Amino acid sequence: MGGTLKTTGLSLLAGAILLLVGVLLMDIGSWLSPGGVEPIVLDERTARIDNKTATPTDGSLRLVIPDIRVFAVGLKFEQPINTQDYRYLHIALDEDGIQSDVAIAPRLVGEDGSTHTPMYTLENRHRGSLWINTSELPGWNGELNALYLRVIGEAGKELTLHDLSLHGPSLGRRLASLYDDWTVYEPWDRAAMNTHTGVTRTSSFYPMILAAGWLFLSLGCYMAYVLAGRGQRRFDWRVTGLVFLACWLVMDAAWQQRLFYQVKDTRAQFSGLTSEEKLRIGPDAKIVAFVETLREHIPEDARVFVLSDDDYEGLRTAYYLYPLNVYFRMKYGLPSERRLIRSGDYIAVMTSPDTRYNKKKELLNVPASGRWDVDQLVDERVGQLFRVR
Amino acid sequence: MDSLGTVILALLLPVFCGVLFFNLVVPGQVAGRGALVWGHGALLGLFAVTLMMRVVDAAGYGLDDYMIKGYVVRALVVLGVLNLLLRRRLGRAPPASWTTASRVLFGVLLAMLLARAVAMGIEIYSRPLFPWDATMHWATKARVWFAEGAMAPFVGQVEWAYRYGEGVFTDRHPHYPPTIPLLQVWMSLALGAWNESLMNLPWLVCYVALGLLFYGHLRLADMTPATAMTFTYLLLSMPLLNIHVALAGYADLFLGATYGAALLFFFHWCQDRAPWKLVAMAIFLVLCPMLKNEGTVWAASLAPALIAMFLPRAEVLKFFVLLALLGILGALVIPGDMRIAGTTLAELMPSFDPEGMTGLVKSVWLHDNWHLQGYLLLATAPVAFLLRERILQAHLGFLLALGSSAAAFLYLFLFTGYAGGAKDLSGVGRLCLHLAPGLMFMVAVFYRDLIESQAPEETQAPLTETSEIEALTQEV
Repeated sequence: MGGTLKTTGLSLLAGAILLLVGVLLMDIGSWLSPGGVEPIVLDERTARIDNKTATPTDGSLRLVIPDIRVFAVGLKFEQPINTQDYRYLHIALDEDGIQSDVAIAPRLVGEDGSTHTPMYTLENRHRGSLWINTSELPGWNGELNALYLRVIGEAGKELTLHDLSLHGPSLGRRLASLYDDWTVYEPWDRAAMNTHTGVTRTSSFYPMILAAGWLFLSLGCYMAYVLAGRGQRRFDWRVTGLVFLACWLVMDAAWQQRLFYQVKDTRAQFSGLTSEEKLRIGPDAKIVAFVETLREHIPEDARVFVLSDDDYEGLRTAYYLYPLNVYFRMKYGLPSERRLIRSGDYIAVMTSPDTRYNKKKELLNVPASGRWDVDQLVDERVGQLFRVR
Repeated sequence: MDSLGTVILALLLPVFCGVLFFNLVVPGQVAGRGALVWGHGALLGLFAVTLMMRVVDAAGYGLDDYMIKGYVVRALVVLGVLNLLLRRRLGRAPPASWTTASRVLFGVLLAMLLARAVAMGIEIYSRPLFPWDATMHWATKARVWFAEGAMAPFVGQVEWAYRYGEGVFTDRHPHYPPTIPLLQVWMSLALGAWNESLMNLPWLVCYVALGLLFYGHLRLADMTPATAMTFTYLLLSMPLLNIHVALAGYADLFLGATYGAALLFFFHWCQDRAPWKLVAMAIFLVLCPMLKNEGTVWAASLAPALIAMFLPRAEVLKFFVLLALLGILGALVIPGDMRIAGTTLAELMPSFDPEGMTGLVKSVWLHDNWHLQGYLLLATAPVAFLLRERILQAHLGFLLALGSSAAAFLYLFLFTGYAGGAKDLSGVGRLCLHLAPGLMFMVAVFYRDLIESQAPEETQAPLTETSEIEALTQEV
């Protein structure tokens, strides 16, 4: 068994080296540069918060999200810089609890001198120290005269920006960015049940491709080792099994870490709350609050029709209205025949731009259904509730 | 904490029922017996409680909490007495051989899986119901049935409108099987209140049950504990499978475990035709359609392989050719609007969609849904060639069954309107989950055969169940 393990280890090592060389050769410009550039870091000259000069303390900026829930923090350059000289962006942002939404907002200068600011959502929530290969940011070319992080979060929340800096190519940064791509963490969303890509928009590689590459290269090295023995070395399937297991374990370690971050986030959001309280602060908080208001007006034996052009919104509204007798048909509105809606029925109107309510005449005009004499019971930004007369 | 204690009891009662029942099915002296009994028993117990609920409701008592619990307790007592009378001890299996390396590997992988299960358990405990389909057509029924105290009928939206909703409810898929919603109702009944988090704990039980039953089947297939644990770890560590546990509420995990159990018992039955394996297979096969419409397809896909196992080897090919011809004839003769497994025949008529292939390739070989399982499957083709004699000798039935379901899967996503589910990745991953246990088992069996093929003759062929019993008899 010792020999098997040794052969496995050497095969994996050889495979890893070949993979690394291959990855580096695929994008030489990401780590090799004829001349170096000095990093641009967060300091008294460059730091800005909402366009105002800011002074880092011990190299960090302590930030508080204002009442309007959004602000921008970043770097302003004395002279525009060439984006191609700066292949790496480093962000070190500390935040307790639920991470705020952050977008990278570079102010790019066009050839005609005009500026534009594309937004790149920073999906990776693993932001304690994050290296981003800027070649993965579409449109990152030309000149740059400022680089901001746009932060949207809970008013009063505190964050600490330890670093926001731009760097030239280097081997270390290339490896660091690959590692950060490998260990990316993005909280689950609605599509999570269908597929897990393992990447964000700023990732350089699909981790699956790297792992498969390592697997095949390692197995190739082992085959070469066996063949080089000219019949003296016996092919051992256990080596292939162990090589495979090792590659799987490395992939899985990143996934396990991701799971732990997710659990930490979920606990931060929902820990200590009752089932009802969880709904009130969860991703559907606005819909839940709206439905709670609707319930005050709807008797238990009533029929409720939900109208929404947004399938998610309509579906979730219908779900939270159960166990009332609810009707929501995706892509459709109300039942086509008028006689199927009776006096005493309720209509909850969410996002439905073509549905109009005439307050004076108390008429609800629903596309493809007609006009209804209604009483308006609830009128909120999220939606409205009507009772059919 | 009171709530947690109550739900743990609500889970343990049916689990123990199922375990005690399955303890009567599995003979003693079977490798991996404990894992087989506990894994299958837990799954079966959860199903059984939903069946009891359906019976009680159909008898006119609604979802009477006390009555259902009463039946569960009575079943527990009866099964317990039967076990005592038949002196069936839980988890008696032949001893396995260990080395230090195998112990370490076993321990590390088990620890990783336990950590994973704990993480997912915390996620389920903390998070309210989240995924799309769960709130579209699974938990909708649970919510209504819990509030009504009965399985109020769900009808299509148009029918609901014409009936003015009187005595009926509606959602997007009113005719989906009731098993999953009933599990959530059972948990809510135990709590006495609707709880969007705790009602999903059966998904964690399903995950653990899947791991146990899979491990048990691998041990029954003469794999060492370390090898069995390795492949169990590979199965249980797949990201999309984990997501379906943590973001509980879908039926796919349960269907994967149930169909997997049936398929694996079929594999074992093909080895020695032991009747208990056929019975166990039949139990889980019958449960498949009770979870999701696709369960009908998977269950049906096993039937040809089962029939083929009763035919002489030389007739198998003719049988499948005949079956294919019958299928074509059926497609021509059967009305296009006839519904089969939740879809019409017209919707199943072939029409190749190349974008379905792109989605499928992404889901299996590009995205990290299954870690490296997709690449393992690529390797099985050359390996199957190397093992062709062994396959023809011992694995033909199993591979025919798995091949039939894989063919059905590919046909669905490449040649029908359901290719949309592959193009936008909304369905292909979830259906892969149904086949994942069977595919991983196939890989494990091939690996076992490869290792055996390279072992020196005197150390080959670990003891099978039959020869172990003979050896013991001779000792006596």
